Amino acid sequence: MNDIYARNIHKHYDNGRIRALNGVNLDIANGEFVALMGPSGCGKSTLLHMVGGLDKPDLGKLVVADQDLIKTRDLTSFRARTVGFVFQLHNLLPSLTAIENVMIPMHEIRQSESSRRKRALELLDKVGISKRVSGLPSQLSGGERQRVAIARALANSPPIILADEPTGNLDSKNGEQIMALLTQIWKTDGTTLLIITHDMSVAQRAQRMLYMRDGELSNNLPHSLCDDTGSAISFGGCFPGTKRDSERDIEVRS
Amino acid sequence: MIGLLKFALKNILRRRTRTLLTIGGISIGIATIVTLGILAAGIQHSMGRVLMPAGVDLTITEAGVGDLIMSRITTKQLQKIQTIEGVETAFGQLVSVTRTDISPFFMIFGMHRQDLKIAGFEIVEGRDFADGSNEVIMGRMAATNFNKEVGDNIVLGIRTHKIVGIYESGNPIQDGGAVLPIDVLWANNNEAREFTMVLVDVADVVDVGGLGQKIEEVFDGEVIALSSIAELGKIDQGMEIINFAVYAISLLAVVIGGIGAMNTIMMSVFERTREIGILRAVGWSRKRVFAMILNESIIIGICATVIGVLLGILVIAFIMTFPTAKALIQPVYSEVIFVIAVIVGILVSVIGGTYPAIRATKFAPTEALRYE
Repeated sequence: MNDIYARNIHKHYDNGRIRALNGVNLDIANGEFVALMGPSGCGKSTLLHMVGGLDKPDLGKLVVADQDLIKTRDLTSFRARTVGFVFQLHNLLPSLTAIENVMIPMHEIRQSESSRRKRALELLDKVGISKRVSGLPSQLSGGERQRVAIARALANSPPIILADEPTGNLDSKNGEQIMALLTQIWKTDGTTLLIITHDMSVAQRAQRMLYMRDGELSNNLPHSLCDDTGSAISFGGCFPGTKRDSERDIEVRS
Repeated sequence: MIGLLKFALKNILRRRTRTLLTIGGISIGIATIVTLGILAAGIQHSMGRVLMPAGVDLTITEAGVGDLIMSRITTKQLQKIQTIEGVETAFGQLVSVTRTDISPFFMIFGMHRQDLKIAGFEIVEGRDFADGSNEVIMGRMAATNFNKEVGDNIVLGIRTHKIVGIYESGNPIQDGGAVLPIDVLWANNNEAREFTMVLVDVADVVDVGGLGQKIEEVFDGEVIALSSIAELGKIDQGMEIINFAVYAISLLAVVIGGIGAMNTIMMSVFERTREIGILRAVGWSRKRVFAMILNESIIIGICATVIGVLLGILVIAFIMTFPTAKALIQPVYSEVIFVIAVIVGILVSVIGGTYPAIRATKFAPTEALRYE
């Protein structure tokens, strides 16, 4: 069963002058880990926002976790319960401590205060910063902030985690640790994980890699990202299951 | 769990100076309402007590005058009132304001010696004046404020009078002034030998309201009969004007305070566009965002109300250190004034917070997340 099902998704801005998404088709299975790559401005984040219920397509069909996001009028409950966001710039609220930031999404879920606090503590322990629960974001390191952001994304146990360049603002060591954490969560919790990245080493952790260009999606990597055998190039490793694009012939997954 | 209120409190404390200035602005408005309200109620109460001392059932004044002090009841009218059935005692009192050697604004009361007691003037030192003499009795508060005692002289208008006694009435307007024989006051100020008002003691079995109506009918509406202090507005438009001023200032406080609060909350909302986007992204509903912003405004309003009420009470305490104020006003800390202050404080915060809160709910999460 697919967790994310998108057909012919279009999203235009500025009276159609900017075509952010141009007939995107996407299928992501339950519990699958997919990496989405592509140049800046190609529509990756727009697609992620659509899937996460932050915005709606102008045209097409989009069903996420059995919920038709185009027909659903208010996506608040969907965002609270179905998806967890991890952003590049952690996006923690600066006036709140780590634990308070993790508890923020739980406002929409009816739970006792003590159980919310308990849950937040468990999550902070899970992401490895149980000793910094009272720290404000300004008092935490970049890696710690991103860990808090991951804990916040997991607050309501969503079946889908959407990560928009979660390591983009971190050094390589912290980036590695954050990816190891996200991978571990994906494996242990069985969540569906869709991650946007520019980093091939990050993408290589995924089961499947998709490439986006000019608002269109392909499961074939561009020539520049592949070696002679057609596998993805990255830090000496290969990404199985990807093919090299021909210059103009992008095979869009249908 | 961080509650919505605690979250709102944290938010407004992020810009402490701005928040404090806003609270200061609103609290000055609230303090003005409290101060004026307490003073107005005090003046009203004191005026009421002048009009209706404890032993008096009805007070008769001239109809159609703008201010009590302009009322005139003739000696003939007094005599006619005295003959009306049900009237046990009726006597006249002339109220005037004069310049003295100690104060530019000094209340004087003219009446016959035998009416002093029923009019509420209790001699506590010295003795009564003799009718027709240049003797006066002085209120305890006036004597204390102006450092006068029995045996001293006081200049009222152009004449010098001798203080022969000190009285207490429990009313600051009366206790802050002096009483002299009415024939002397007539000779000084009123050759027509008129009274400001006639005070009536009604026989026990008579319906006071009914008798008042009867007196008004006897004089074809030329006089007004008051049976309670609450009816003061009927004859003294000054009180109405003061009350109107209090309400007008309250309204201004709501508008100015509301704009101040709105400005602060609006700036705060725009500064936090991205944060509001994050809240919406992690599943906060529009309703919750609205409540959070409104809570911030209400916290400001509550703080401003508390500070404003305390400030108002302090201002009253300061005003009452002045002898002239003491002589005219006995502050009345009416519950109504505090209720008005609280309502104004809440209104200001709700009015000031609603629009920014609505704006905050309109932010599209994706747009807000892009906001730097």
